[in-house]
Amino acid sequence: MNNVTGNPIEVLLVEDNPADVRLMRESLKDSKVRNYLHVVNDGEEAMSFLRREGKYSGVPRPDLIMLDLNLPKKDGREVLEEIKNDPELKQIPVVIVTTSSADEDIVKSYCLHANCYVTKPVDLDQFMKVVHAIEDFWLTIVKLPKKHDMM
Amino acid sequence: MHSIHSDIRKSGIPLIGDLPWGSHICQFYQTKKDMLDILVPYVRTGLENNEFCLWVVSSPLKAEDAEKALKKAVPDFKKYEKKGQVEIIPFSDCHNVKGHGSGGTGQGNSLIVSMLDRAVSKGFDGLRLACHAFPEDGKVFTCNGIDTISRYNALAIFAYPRDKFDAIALMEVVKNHRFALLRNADKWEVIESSEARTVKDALKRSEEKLHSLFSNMSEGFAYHRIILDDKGKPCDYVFLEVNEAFEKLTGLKGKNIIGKKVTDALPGIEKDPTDWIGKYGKVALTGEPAQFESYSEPLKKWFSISAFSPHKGYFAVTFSDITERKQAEQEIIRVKEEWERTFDSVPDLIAILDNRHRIVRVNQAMAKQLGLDADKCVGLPCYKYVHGLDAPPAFCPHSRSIKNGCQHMEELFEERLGGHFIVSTTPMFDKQGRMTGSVHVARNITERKQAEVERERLVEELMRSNRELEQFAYIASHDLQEPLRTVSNYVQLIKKRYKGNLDSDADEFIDYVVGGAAHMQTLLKDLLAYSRVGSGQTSLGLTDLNAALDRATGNLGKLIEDTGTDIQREDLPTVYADGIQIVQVLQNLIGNAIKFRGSGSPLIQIGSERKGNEWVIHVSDNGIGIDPKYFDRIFLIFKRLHSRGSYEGSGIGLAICKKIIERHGGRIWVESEPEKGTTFYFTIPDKR
Repeated sequence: MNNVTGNPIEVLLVEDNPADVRLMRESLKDSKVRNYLHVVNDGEEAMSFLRREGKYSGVPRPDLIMLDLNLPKKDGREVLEEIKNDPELKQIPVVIVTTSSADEDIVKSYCLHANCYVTKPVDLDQFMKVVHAIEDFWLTIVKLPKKHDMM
Repeated sequence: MHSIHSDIRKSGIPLIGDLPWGSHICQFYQTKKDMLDILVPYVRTGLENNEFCLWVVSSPLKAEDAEKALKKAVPDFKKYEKKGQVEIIPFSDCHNVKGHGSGGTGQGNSLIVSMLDRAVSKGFDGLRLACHAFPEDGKVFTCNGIDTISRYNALAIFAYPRDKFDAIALMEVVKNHRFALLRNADKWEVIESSEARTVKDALKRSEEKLHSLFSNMSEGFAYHRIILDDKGKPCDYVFLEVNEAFEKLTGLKGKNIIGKKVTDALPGIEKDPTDWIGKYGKVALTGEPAQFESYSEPLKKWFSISAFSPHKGYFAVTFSDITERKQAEQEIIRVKEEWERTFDSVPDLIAILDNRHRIVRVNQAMAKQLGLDADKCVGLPCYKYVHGLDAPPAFCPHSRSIKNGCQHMEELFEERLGGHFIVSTTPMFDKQGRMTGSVHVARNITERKQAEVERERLVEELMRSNRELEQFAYIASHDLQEPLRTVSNYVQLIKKRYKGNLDSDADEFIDYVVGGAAHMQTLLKDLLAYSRVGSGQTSLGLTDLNAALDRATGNLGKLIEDTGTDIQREDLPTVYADGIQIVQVLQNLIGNAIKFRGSGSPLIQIGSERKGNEWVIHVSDNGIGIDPKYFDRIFLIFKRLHSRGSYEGSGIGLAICKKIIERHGGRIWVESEPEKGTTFYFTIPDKR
């Protein structure tokens, strides 16, 4: 159980648009939950981070992954597929946060076992509401497996 | 009718009466007077009956004696003389008389035959001969002459000197003639030869048999005499005898036509394309028989005819009516010709093939294509001459027809024939149901094929450019959203954090940026929706429009409720359509009706009408209406009639409706009157 007093929650944001990264940071600033936001800008970086390769050897294992679909190098869909096919990573919840509202993308993401799918709202207030909702749900309401359980 | 030899002539000798053609009799004389007693009335009667009379005189009678006696007995003798109807010649002038003992043959014939020819060519009925039969010692007319007489239209009297014959010789002469005239004291007596009588009886019996045969035979028979004009050309003929079949076949009655000219019996016959008179004339004059089939214009019948001439100047015909056969033949010919004309006028290449791929028949087009005469193509293997191969090609539909007795079709390109062809082989069967071959029809479709290829290319090109355009619209509207969102988000962030910290202009400008970004967002979203109508596959299925309408009004539920809109709906049909898209159309139309409502409470009526094989659906309102000059414009993408201030929306709704309806093969249009209301109609094809 995560709580305000415990260890900070580790969140990995896979997002190539710095404007969105910043907006996400702004949104999470006044979060109820102590969190630490790690950001990578493409799919390959994301996989390296998760597998703690190279410069990511010392990084913590994230409690939640926020993944954009349209990414350079390795596409978000591929990243999702790799995560969900990896016995060590598949238990980490993945929230798809993307601009696309295409049915095709939504269906495909759930088929690849995305834990939820959220469209980035155009309106700023809406955007913040969505981020808070994600945070609220995944970081406070949902019970996630303990880290040692995952090992 | 009488027999063929029944052309009875008057003899002019009361004791004998009438005689048939071919009779020869004799007289025994002792004095000149004896001769004149018999021969003068005999010749006179001939003259009076249109016979050519030849009198061969010899001692004791001289030509002058004969002529003098005749002139006395025949008042208009000169007339006959002028016509050339009579000749009196001394025996010594007859070169065809031979010595009695020389045993020659046919000496008399040539004289008689040439005389007969003369008689007939001058238009006389026949020849009447009076002759001194034993003119000089050791000389005599031979029996051949007599035979000739019996076969032709001739009569003859031979005069024998009574003194030169003893009883035996006399008997011999009598035997050889039909009758013999002998003077006993002052009275002439006639002796009929018993042998001749026997022959006559036999003849009579045979004639009776013949008569019965002629009467009963189914073929028509007629006997005629030809009539010549001044130049000796046949110009008419006279009916002498006909049988019953003749009457039946021609419809002419013997009693009406016997002795009549054909030009009287059958007026116009001389103009008949079949030159009957000429044809028969030739037979009668040359003696060469003729056989032919001809159409008689006056009788309107076809006859098969054989004509022959028993005597010069005469002809007999036997004939049968072949009209039915001829008509059947002509019908067969007509049908055959018609079929051939049709067969040959078809531009397709047609070959009738047997089961071994050999050509049985080709039409003109095929023959031309092969560069051969049609009849030269028969028997050629088609694979060799059409395709230049040693065996039927794999695609050959005829091979398949031979195998299973069914029709087959194949489209192929044959370089040797210079183009694309569609080839069909239709099997043919005999009465026992065995396949005899097939009708192989090749149609040149090169032009059509080229047009098809071109059309396919154009369609492909069009589809590609359409796909590209849709892709473009989709990608543009989709990908543009991302940076727009960033602009929008950050302007809002600025507004949130810095409103009131900048000057009032800045606040206003920020509001414009926020408004512009929001508007652009709407446009992009609509454009995306519009392009999506074309991008995905339409999933057509049976769609109940009532259910679709329920969905549409359901989606608009709050709006309907808030505006107090009354929706009156009729029962709608089930159509073949994409349900989701139809819901969108109805939703857009109802949404519009509410949006452009008038001052009164909104009323929307929805119904349908069947027209041909499609349904016309209408959505009517009592709203503000549309000026007719904008009827076309409203269906264009992003075209709005009202300022953004008065009515919201990007102007995509009707464009989407139009696109959806047109993709369903329907039409959409509007009827409206400003301030009264608007009705949108769209058609949707009936379920198929």
